Amino acid sequence: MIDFELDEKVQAIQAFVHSFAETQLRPLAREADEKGVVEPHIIRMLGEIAGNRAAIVPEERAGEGEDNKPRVGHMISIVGSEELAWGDAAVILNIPGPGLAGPSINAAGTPEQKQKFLLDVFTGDEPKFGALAVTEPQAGSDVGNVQTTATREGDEWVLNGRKVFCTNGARADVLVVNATIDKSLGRGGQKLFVILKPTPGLIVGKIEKKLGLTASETAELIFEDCRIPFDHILGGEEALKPESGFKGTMKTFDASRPTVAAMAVGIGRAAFEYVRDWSASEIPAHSRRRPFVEAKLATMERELQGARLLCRKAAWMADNHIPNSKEASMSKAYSPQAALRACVGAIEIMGPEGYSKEHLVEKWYRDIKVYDIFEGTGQINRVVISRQILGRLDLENGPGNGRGGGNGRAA
Amino acid sequence: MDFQPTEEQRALTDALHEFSESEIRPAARECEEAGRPSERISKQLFEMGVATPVPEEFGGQGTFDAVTSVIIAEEVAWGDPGVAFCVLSSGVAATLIDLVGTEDQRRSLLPRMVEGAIGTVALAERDAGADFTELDATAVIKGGTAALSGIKYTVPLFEDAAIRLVVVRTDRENGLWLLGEDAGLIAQPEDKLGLRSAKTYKLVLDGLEVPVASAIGGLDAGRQKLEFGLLRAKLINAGIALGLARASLEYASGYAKERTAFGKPIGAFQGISFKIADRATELESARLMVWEAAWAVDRGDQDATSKVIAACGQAIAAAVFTADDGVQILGGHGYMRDHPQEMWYRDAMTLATLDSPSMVGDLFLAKQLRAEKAGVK
Repeated sequence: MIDFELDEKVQAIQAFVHSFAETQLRPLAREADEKGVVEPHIIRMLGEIAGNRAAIVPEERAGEGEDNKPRVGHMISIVGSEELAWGDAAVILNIPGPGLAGPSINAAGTPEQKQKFLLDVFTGDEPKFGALAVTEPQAGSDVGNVQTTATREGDEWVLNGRKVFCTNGARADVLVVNATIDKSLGRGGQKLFVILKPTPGLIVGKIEKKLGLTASETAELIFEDCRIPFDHILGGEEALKPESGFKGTMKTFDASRPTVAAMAVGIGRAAFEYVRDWSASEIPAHSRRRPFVEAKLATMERELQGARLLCRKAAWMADNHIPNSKEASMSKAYSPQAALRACVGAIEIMGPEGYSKEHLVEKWYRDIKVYDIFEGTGQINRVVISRQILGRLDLENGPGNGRGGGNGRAA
Repeated sequence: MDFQPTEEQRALTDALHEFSESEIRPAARECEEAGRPSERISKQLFEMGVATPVPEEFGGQGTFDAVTSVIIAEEVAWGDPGVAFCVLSSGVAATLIDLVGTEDQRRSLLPRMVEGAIGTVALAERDAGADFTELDATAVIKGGTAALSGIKYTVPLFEDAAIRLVVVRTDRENGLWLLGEDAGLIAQPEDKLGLRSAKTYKLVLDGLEVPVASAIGGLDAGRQKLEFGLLRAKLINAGIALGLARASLEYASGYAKERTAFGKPIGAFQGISFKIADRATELESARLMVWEAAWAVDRGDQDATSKVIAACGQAIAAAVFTADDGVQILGGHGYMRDHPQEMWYRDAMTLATLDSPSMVGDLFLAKQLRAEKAGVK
């Protein structure tokens, strides 16, 4: 039966996370943005509050892992992410935990690998990080075009190549990397590998300077004959079958896109609430600007609610074992743009104060932009959505778009 | 949290979709040209119990909650938005009487609707489409009579209707009044852009006298009851917008798969496929907001009004933009009457005048949000 009320358990987590975001994250926002880094003692403090294990194998932990049982793990992730990003989108990427290595290992790993790479590593008081390295300089949305190779030599894999734009890539204790074991197989040759730090041949390159999310570490990673044990291929022997590795990457995105979209909603909501309260005290009731401002605020709220519900529907589907590629991409295609419009609206309403560093709206305007880029650009998500509706029309009559070949496109 | 309709709702959706596909869609042009739904369609929707929901105690087939009503509206409007607007308007009248009316009024009016008496509600005004809290039409009470004045637009089937309701202000509050059948009324048929299969009228009330007993729910009818009734009416329009957008999107998607250019189906070009992806996404967000608003109305939530206004805005915007792209994707063919896209393009904008996605709708939303915020704190 249609019911929009969050489960009690989710509501309780929402309230807890909101208070954490309000008291711990938001106050750090400006300083972290200016310094471009979050201090180690703060990272430790955040880890202690978050339990150092945030979002590890949520299903197993809750004892709800078996198929066809109703779960709320994805919904918790959506609701929690909105609140966290509302607090500060960059600082939360400094909360110790597996990050995007979590969903990829959960989606593609064997039970033993989940134990070894997640539960065994992310335990105790020491802050630990995970990261997912997919993007290469010439392969972003076109995930199928990655050039990093993994060659089998006896009981080992040898990785060679270069990854860019990897969140927490430099500090990661557990790094998930996609690489091809056979370029002639196209995306079918792509598999996911786990590198535990330190491993010889894993070299940290440039740390990026960015428009926004400045306090989040974005690293280049270079693999030079980087050797890892054979059982570090996610999915084990099974993964050697064509397609299985690539599907693992894509399944990761089905889970992570709504979460990233929910973070965008959180940033948009931060801007909306800030300017709503600002205008209530700064713009007199009789001002000629008042009707314009109020209509603008209403539009922001309407669009953010549409975005929020798209995220929640996608999460609900995942929790209920319903394939959600289309809905996950819908949430990711819509939310960052709705949130960007909210940030633009906030600056417009505040005028010169809107771009002043006295307020956080200029920061939210910078931060939000990347949400339409990472975890799948708005464009690649539109490709996913339209293919779900229209099918693979590009394969019907056009030359040079063969399925599975070296030029095969990522869905 | 659950996004799955009940089994009954899904069965109803399937039955209505089949009817829409086999009966309404093929007759859409014919209904548009005739300026009203065919007798056959009106009759069958009435017999299915969806056109005029009346409680079983008054001989009807039972009423629907708001969530079910928007699901019904979407399916019927998928067949034809004008037919949905016209046929379901009688149901809006029945719902208002059921929600607001006194026991005597319900007992006398609702069984007549079960027997086939058509109902209609005059609500929209020139300066108050989306915002029903700022109506200009008034009722001035003097002794045992009330004088009704004001101009109403887009009143469906006024001449056919035996049960004619009008929403006007009494002092400062909205009230619902029953007009006599033979009262001296000026109703002019409207010749309009879209929703042409809904026969509608402009109604001019110039101090029309009706007995005080015509106030549905009495002179001190619960203000909240009427507000929730009017929210139900707005939700029907939102449901119609969803059905329109879905119809147009599906039609354009089918065309994009068939039509080739430069050796490929045009849907293989991102200039086309991205439009489809965007409109599908907006439609999905609108449907979720409409369902959420209807759910809030069913629960009687404090913030139901702002949810309904926001949902209407999102749904009407989805309809207007989808209908535009629907014509665009078909190109020249979209402009021709051989395809239904041009009809939906006209229908969408006509629907938008009843529930604006523009400044008017969002201003109403802003006002409501302020009121709710003040009320809560």
